[in-house]
Amino acid sequence: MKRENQIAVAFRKLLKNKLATFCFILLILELILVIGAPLFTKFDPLAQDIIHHSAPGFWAKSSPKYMEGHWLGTDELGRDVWARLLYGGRVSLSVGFISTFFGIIIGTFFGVLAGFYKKLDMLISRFMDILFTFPGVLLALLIVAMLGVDTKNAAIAISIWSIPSFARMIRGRVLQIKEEEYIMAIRSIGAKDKTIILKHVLINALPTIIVIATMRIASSIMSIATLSYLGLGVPTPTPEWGSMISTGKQMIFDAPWLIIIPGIAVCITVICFNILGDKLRDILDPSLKD
Amino acid sequence: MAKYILKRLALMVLLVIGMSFLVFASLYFAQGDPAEIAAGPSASVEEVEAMRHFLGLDQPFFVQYGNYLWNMLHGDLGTSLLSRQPIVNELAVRIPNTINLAVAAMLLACIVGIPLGMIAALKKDSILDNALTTISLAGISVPNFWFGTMLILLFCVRLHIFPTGGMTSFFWTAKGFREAVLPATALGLQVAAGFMRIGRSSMLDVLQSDYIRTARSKGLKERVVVVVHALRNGLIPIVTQMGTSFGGLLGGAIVTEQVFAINGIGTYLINAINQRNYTAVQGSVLLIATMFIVVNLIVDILYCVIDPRISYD
Repeated sequence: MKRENQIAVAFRKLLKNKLATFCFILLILELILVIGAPLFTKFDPLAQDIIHHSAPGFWAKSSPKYMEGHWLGTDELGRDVWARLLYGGRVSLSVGFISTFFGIIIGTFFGVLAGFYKKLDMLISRFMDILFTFPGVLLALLIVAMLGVDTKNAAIAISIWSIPSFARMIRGRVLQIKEEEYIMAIRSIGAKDKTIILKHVLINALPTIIVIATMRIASSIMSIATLSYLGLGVPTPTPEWGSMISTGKQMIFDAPWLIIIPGIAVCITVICFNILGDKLRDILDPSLKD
Repeated sequence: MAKYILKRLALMVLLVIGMSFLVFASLYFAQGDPAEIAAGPSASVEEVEAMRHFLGLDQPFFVQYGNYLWNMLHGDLGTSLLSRQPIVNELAVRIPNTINLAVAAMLLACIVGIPLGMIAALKKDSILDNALTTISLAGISVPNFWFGTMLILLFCVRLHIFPTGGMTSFFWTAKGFREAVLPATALGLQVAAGFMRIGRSSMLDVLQSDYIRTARSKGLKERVVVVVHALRNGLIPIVTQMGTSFGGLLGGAIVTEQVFAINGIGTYLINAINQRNYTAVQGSVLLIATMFIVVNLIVDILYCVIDPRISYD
């Protein structure tokens, strides 16, 4: 009961910060646009119209190629950029959320076990050390190489990629919590490990989990865009922000907006999640700062 | 100290073995049959089986891994399934390009990121500090492939200042420098932003410490206090971060190489994944991860040299 209040208090504090509130509203707007995509565009993101390809948008209304209705222009196959942006956001955001979610569940599981049981710590921590030897996207690339190119596989790759950092941070937090007096008090009245972990350790680690998760969503969205840019994430013709940038690159001389627009979408989303994560950390768990 | 280094070396060997097992196992269980890929699309069933035997793929998993590890220790990463060339040779041609890019990006990140972080700390809460902090937050949020493409758009397509891609000379030569500016900026941005954030917070910590107050109360000039007393300790967290950052650069280089059409290990790896050339994927992943492990070891040792307070246990 008290814990719910702590999260609510943190949320209220968050909304007192102007920048954080702005980011929060922006993300909510983006979610509404992306989820309700059919309400905000009448175009099919896959429908091609070769004759009217690479038409500019509102910034060049005087251009003879400008097409009424396509306010962000069309791409190299005449598909509406605004529609692709909205439907592409569905893919980018859902992969970002889903892979972060699974990363948290599995990472927290191992992190709690490693932090709570000394015997398991050695095994789990060494395994995480091995996963940490793959820098940057390398681990995700290895997993995609193993499973094959597909949206689902990219999501799996990104989940697995986020497990070691979750596990390590949660382990650190659990080690701190475990040493606190009230845990010893609960243990001395005969509470079982399961009760201690579920009712006390996990709940006390929750602020840390929320902070890491918020930041991780940002990097997951960046990762799916990166994988798709490399041609190893979402297969064509499904719209996705990274693959839009990748195909737009061929049109860099004639239609640079095909690169600029989806890139801005990725940047805004990632920056907002990072700012929210930063502020949440200052409120909930300043010890994570380094 | 020697004991500590030996211990770290032993740990490094264990890490390399564990990592190589993971790489080997994950590609062993990958979809698709390497023998079929090596034999080519028009091969008959017998030819595929002959190829399987030739490649040793009909042996049990642990025998195959044992052989692979044994060959790896002798500097042999097998042959490419497609070109039939030794993978070590194919990688050797490309390593210099990747290292060239990563080192240029690292230097740029140090030159730009560290001083800006220090300045932000010294001018805490000023407009400059706020601006720098915001820029660094934006810096870690921009995907490097997009930033790189934007640089191409601005400096190559519009202004015609730099070449659009390719990196064939080392960055300290005149030609190489021109080629390196954009890729190194694209790749180094996130690391520079990271250094700025860490540098700022560590410098703030140091500036609040007792010995800095002592130095100031002795009447030392502010410049001496900062440069002689604060800087060395303020740099320690950045040095720790350098190992991880260099790894990030190696990973990021895979992507940046694609943007700027640089023929490095990253390009080789991406092609290998697309062609399902498993031995080449194995070799290049192994090489990048091993480089990362070695760099981390070097940084750990450097760390002891810079900060003698660290215990070697």
